Amino acid sequence: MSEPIIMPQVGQDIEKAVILEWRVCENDHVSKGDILFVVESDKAIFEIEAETSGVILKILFEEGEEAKVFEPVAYIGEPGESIEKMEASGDSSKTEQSIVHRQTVTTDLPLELSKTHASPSARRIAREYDVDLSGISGTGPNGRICKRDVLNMIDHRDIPSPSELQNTSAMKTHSVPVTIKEISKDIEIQFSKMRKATAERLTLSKQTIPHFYHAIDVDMTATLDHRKEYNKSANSRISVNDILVMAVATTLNRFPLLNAHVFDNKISIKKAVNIGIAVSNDEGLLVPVIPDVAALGIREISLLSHEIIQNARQGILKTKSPASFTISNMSMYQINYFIPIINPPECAILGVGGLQKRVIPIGKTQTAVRDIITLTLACDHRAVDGDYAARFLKSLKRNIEHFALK
Amino acid sequence: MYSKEFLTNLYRQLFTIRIFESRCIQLYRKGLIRGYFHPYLGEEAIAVGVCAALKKNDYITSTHRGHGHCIARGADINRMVAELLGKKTGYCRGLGGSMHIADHSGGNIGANGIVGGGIPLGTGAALGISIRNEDRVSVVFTSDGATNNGVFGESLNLAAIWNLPLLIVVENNQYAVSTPIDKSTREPDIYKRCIGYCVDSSVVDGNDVLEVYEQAQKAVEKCRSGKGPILIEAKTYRHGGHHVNDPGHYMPKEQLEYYKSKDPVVKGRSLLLESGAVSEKEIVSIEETVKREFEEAVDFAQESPEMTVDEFRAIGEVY
Amino acid sequence: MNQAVTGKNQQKRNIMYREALNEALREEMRRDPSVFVMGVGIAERGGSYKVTAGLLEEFGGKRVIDTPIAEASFTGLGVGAAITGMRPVVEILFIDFTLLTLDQVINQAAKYKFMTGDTRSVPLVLRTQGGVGNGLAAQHSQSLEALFYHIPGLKLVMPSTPYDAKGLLKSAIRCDDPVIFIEHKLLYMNEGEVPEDDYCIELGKGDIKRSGKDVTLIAWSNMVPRSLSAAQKLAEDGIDVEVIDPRTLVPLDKELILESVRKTEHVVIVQEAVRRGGIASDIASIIQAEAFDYLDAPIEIIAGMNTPIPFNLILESACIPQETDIVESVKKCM
Repeated sequence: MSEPIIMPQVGQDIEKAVILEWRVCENDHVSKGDILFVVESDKAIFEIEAETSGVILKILFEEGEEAKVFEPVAYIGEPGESIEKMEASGDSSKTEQSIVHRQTVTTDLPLELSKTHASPSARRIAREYDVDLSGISGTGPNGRICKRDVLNMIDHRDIPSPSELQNTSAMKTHSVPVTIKEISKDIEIQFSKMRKATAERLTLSKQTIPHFYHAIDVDMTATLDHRKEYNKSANSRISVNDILVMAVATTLNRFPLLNAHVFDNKISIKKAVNIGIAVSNDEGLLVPVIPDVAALGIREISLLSHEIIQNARQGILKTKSPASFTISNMSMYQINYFIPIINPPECAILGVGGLQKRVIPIGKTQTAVRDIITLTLACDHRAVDGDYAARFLKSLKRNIEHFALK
Repeated sequence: MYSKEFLTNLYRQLFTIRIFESRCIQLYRKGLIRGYFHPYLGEEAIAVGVCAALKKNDYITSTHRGHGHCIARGADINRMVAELLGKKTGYCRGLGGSMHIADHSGGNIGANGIVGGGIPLGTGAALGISIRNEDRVSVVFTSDGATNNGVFGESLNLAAIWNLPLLIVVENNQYAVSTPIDKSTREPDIYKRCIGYCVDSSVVDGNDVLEVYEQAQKAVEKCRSGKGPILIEAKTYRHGGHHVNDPGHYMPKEQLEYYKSKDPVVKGRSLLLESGAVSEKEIVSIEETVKREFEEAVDFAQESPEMTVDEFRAIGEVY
Repeated sequence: MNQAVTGKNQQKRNIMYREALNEALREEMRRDPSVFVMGVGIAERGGSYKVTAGLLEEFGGKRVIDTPIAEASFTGLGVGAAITGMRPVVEILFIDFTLLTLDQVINQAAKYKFMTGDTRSVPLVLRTQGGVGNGLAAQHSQSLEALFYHIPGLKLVMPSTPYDAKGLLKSAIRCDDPVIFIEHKLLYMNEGEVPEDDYCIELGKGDIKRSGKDVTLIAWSNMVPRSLSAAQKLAEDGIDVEVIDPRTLVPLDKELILESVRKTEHVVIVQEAVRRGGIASDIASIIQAEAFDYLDAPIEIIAGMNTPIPFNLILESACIPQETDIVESVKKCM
C-alpha cells in the first residue's frame, strides 16, 4: 500500500512551511528513520525522518516550494506501485460529496483573531451571567466560543480584579454627595462598572426568577448565651453570622435543591456548599464566598468569613468558587426582616433580620423576653416549591436554636 | 313580440351601463377612482342581450372590461361604485377594484385582470354543473384578444369533449389592447375556429341588443338540452381607447364614427320607442331615475368607510 | 407523535404511500359528492403511480375524469369548479408540468378569495409529484415547492410517510383554500403504519419524526427518511439528532421548529430543491430572527446544487443531499 508523506506541523500556528532540501530522490529505497527532507518554518529548521520503509514513489514539491501543513509532499510504497492507482481506489463518494458541499453554507473561513467570535447562545448566557467573553477560548467549530465554553467559565468564574474595580471608580463623573444641600443643581452619576453589574444582575433576577418567600422566627436566646461562653473560654470571636453560616451549611446537606444553580430549564445541584455573603460597599453589591463550608469547622469559618468580608468592603474578591447559596445579613441594623433578591444563578437566598427582644408566651399563662431574629428565605419557584422551602426553614430554625459549639 | 316590461328592462340596463361608465370616467378624472379602468362604452348591447337570456342561477365570468356584465346580471350600483372607490362596502371590500369585481349573488364569478384567464374558470363552472347534473348554464364573456391565448382553444376543446353547458361569448371589439384584429389573426371571423373543435357557433351584430338576445336565447337552450358548448361571436367596437388613459389614436376616425352611428344604447332606445309600448316621456323618466340612482350610489360610496390597515392586516396574515 | 388521529380505534397496518393516498381520495369521495378527481391518465389507467387506481370503477367517469394534455386549462377548470361549489382534486403528472398552470394557480386560484374581498373560497387540491427519480433528467426531476411557497393564498403540503400522506390529503380536500399537495416519486412504494379508521392531520402541524437533544434536523418529503437514517448513523457517534418534518410548508409550524431549536441550539436544514431562493433559506431566516439567542452554531443548509438535474445517475445523486452529506453537515455544526 502506498502512503502519503505529509508536511508535518513544525509550529503551533503555522499553516505552511518551505521544503529546503530533499535528501532522497524518486525510486530511492529508504528505511524507517532515514532523513527524507528538510523543512524550514519561520522559527527553525527541521529534518524529517521516514516513518516507514519503502520506495519513494513520487515527490510532489520542488525544493524551495511551500507546502501546507498536513498536505502530502511525497508518496512512499512498494516498488512499481502507482499512486494514480491508489488515488483511483479512493472512495468514489468523495467526488459526489465535494460537489454537494459547495452548495452548503460554508463556515470554514478562519475567524479573525482580533474579534471575539461567540455563538448567539454563548453571548446570551454570557449576558445573563455577566461573563466577559474575551477571556474565554472557544472550543466550537473554527474556535468559536459556544455555549458549553461559557457554562464552563461560569462554573470556574473569575471575579473582577480589584484593580479593574478601582479603574472604573476613577472614571466616575461625579461622586455621591453626602447631603443634598451641598449640590447646587441636579447631578447625574454614571453607574460604575460594579454598580452596573449589580444592576444588571438584580434586574435579571427580579425579571426572570419567580421568587417566593418564607419567613420564620428563630429564638436565639440560648444560642447567644452559648456563644458568649464559648468565645470566653476559647478566646475566639465567633459571630452570630458564623453560626448562621455553619447552620445553613449543615441544613443544606439535607436540602440539596437549595444548594444549586438554576438555568436553562435545569437545576444543577452543587457538590460543594459554597456560602456567599452579601456585602455592599459604595460601588454596589459583592458576594464573597466561603468555599466548601461543609468541610470547615466554626473557627475556620469565622476566620475566613472575617477576611473575605473585610476584603469585599474594599472591593476585593479573592475566592474563585461561585456561591451555591447566599446569606444576606442585616442583623447589625435594626431591621425586623427584609425580602432579599436571589443572586443568579443560585436557587435561594437567606435574609437575616435584626436581633430583637420580644415578649414570647411560655405555656398558657406565662411570658418571657427572648432574643428573636426573623429569617426570610427567597427561593426560585421554577426549581423548588413552598413545601420544600418550609421544611428547610423549619430544619434550619432547629439547627440554630440547638447549635452546639465544640 | 316582446313585452313592454322586457324591452323597458333591456333599455334600462343599456342606459345604466352607459351612465355608469361615462360618469365613473368623470369620477376617475377627479381622482376619486384610481388604477385601471376599462370602459364598456359601445359594447353594452352584448352584456345586456346575453344576460337577458339567462336565469338567476346561471353563471357568468367576465373580463377586465367587466362593469357591463356585472350590471347586466343585476348588481347593486351602490356596491359597484363603492368598489371602484376602494371602499369597504364595495363588492370586494376594496380589495379587488375594477378588474376583479365579482357578484356571486348574480352568478357573476368575476371580472379578470388576465386576458383569457377567466375562460377556464367559466368552463370549470360548467364542469361542476355537469357533474352535479344541474339545469344551469355557464357563460364565458371573452374577447377577440383572448382567443389567441392557449387557454381559449384548450377550454373550448375540453368543453366540447365533455359536452359542457357552456356559452362562450366572444366580444370582438377588433382590438387586443391596441393591436387590430387583422394583425393578430389571419381569420378575423373568430366563430369559424369552432369548426375544428366540432362546436356550434354563430356571429351576431353586437350593437343590436335584440339580435344578441335572440342568438343567446337559442344558444342557452341548446346548452340546457345537453348540446353545449356553443360559441357566439359578437362584432362590436369600443367608443374609446383600451382604458380611460388611452386616447385610442390608433383607431381610425371613420371606423369609430361608423360604429358610433350604430350606438347600441341609441339603438336600444329606438327599439323601445318603435315598439310603441313606451312613450318618449316614460323613457326620459326612466333615464332620470337611472341618473338619480347613480348619483345616490356616488354619495353612498363616498360616505362609506375604507377598510383600516389593521383590519387588512388581520385578513392578509393568513394568506 | 402522530397525535392528530381522530379515529376511534387505533388498529394499524402497513400500507404503501400511494395506497394511503388512494384511500384518502376514496374516503373523501365517498363522504362528499362534490369531490372529484381529474388529470392525465388517472381514470382508465389509474394514474402513473397508481394513486387513483380503482376510483373510476367506484365513482364513474363524471367524477374520475381523464383529461387531454392541457394542464393550464384543466387546472383552470378545477379552479372554476371549486369557486362554484365543487371540491376538485386536480392531478398534474409531474411538478415540472405545473409550470404550464401557473396563471390559473397563481393569478386565479391563489388570489380569488382575496380579490373577492376575502369572502369566497377555492377548495381546490392540486396533487403533483416532484423530486429526482432515477435518471428522469432535467424536465421530470425538479423540486419546485419554493415557487408555490412564495405565493400568498396557497397552502403547501409535502408528506413524507404513508400516514402523513393520507391524513394530510384528507385535510387538504376539506380545506377551503387552494392546496398544492406535492408527493415524491421515490416515496410512492414506501410502506408505513396507517390506521384503518378515518383520521385527518391538521394543516400547519409539523411532526417530530425523531426526538433528540443535540441538533435539530429539519427536512421534508424524501429528505425525511434520508435524515432519519443519517440520524441513526450520528447516534452511533453520540450525537442525538431531532428530526422535524414540517409536513406542511404553508402554513409552517414555526413553533414546533423554534421549540426544538431552543432545545438543541443547533440547526441543519435539508432540502432537495436547489439552494438558491429555497424554503430552507426562509426557515433559516425565521429561526435567526426568532431564536437568535439560542443558536450555538451557524445554521447549516444542505441543499441541491444550483443546477438542472442531469441524466447521468452518478451526477444526479451528486446534485442532491445524500445521507453522508447530512451526517457531515451535522458534525460540522457541533
